[in-house]
Amino acid sequence: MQTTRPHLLLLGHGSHLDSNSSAPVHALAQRLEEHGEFGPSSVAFWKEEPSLSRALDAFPPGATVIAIPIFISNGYFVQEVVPRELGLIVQGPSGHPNTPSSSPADAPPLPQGRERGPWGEEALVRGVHVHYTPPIGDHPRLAEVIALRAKEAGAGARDAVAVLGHGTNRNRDSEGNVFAQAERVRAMGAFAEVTTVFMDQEPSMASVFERVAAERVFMVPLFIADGWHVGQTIPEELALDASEARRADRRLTYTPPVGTHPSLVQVVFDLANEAIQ
Amino acid sequence: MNTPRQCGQLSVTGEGPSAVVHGPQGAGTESVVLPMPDALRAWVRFDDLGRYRPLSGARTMPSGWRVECDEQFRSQNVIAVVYPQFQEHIAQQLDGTLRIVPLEDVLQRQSGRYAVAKDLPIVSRDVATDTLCGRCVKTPVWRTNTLRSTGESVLPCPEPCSVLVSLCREAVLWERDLPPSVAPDDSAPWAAFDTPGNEVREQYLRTRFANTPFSARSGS
Repeated sequence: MQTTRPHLLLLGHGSHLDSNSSAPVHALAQRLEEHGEFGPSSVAFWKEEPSLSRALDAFPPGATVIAIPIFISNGYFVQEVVPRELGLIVQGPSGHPNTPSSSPADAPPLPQGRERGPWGEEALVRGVHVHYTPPIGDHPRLAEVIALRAKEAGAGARDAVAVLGHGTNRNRDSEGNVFAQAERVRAMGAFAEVTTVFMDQEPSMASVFERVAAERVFMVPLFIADGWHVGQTIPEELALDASEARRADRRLTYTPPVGTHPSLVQVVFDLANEAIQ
Repeated sequence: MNTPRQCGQLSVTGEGPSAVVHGPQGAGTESVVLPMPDALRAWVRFDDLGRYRPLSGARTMPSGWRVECDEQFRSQNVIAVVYPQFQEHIAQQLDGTLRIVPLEDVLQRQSGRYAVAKDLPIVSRDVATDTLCGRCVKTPVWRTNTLRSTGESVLPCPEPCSVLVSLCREAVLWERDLPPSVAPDDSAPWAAFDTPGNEVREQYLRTRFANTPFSARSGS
C-alpha cells in the first residue's frame, strides 16, 4: 500500500451474530476507492476482521491514514473503544486513559483551555500518521441524507419526519448527534414537522404518533446497518406491515437506514477532506 | 500438473490471471464464484449449514466452490478477502516485525460488558483458547510466540480476536453460575456463546467442568 495520497480507514462496529452489520462499511470503502481522490480504502471492525486493534498493520511506516468512524453517536465506542484499540489512547498506570500513546514529540501544545479529545490531532502510531475524525453522525451533511431518505419514501412539505436514534440510558453522549441532526433537518424547512425518537430511551419510537400532528409520518433510522435492529426488532416493536403502520387515518412509513444510502459517501469525503485541511 | 498451494482451507492452482482458487472439496459440482470482492465475501460469510461465519479462520468454510482469477482479481486478492491481513502478517512474521499481543494484554484493556473477561482464571483461559483456536486454521502465535514453520500454509494469528474475548467473557459468567451442559445444536449461531447448544459453548463446558459433579459446581 505505497501511495503519497492519504489512505482512508473506515472503522465500523461489525457483529458476531449479524451477517449484514458490516456490509455498508465495505460498500462505502468500495465507492471511495472507485472515486480515486484518496489512496486505497481499508476497513476495520470491533467485532469482525480486520480488527480495530490490527487495522494499522496494513500500512507501511510513514503512511498517512485518515481514520473515520462509521458510527452515529459520539458515545462510548467513538470516544473510548476505537481510540484505545487503534492505539491512539493508552491506559495509564492508574487505568485512567492517557494522552495519545505515541504523539509526535514535537506536537504543538494545545491552545489554552482546550482538552485533547480522541480526534482532531494527528497521532503517530507505530510510524503511521493517523488523523482520527469525528464519526459520520457528527457531520452536518448527514442531515441531507436523512432528508433524502424521507423524500425518496414520499415525504413532502405537509408531512412529518421522525429521526430514529438508537439511544441508551448508559451514556448521555449517545443522543447528542441524533437531536442535532433532527434540528438540521428541521432547519431545512422541507417538512411540516421534524421530531426525534429512540429505540432504547425516551422519547420512544412507540410514541411517534403522539409527538407529531401530521397525517403522514416518515421515520428515518439513523443507523448504519440494515441489520438486526433495523430489520427485525424495530419493525416488530412498531408492528410494521411492509414498512408501514396505521393508526386510524394516520400512516407511519419506515424508510431504510441512512447507512445504506449511496450519498453517505459524500459525508465520508467531507470528513476526510476536513481532517487534512 | 502443478501441485496446489494451500492457504488455510483454500488451495490455489495456476499462476497470475490464470490461477484458480478452490474452497474445500464438496460433494457435488463446484460452484463458480465471481472474481469480485463483494461476491466472494458474501460467499464465504456462511457455512454449509447456512450459519454466519464471523471468524474468517473458522474451519467452517463453505465447500464446493472456486474462483477463476483474472487480470484484476488474482489469487492474492482472493486470499485477502477470505483471510483478511494474512499477507501483511505473514510478511511481518518473515521480516521479524509482526507485533504479537498476548491474551492477558487483550483482556486487561477491555471495558464495558467485556471488562469482566479479565477475571477468567488461567486454566479456563487455556480451555477457551483450546476450544476456539482449535476450530481455526490460524496459528495463535500470541500463545507460543513462535510459528511452526515459515510455509505459506501457516496463517499467523498475532493477537486474540474479539470472538475469543467474547468467549472469555461468557466463561467468567459460567464460572460464577455454571449452566447445565446440553447436547450441541448446530442450529445455534456459531458465536452465540450465551445460547445453550452452541457447539463452542458446549465443548468448553464439557472440557472445563468434565470432572465436576453438577451438585458441587460453583454457584450451584
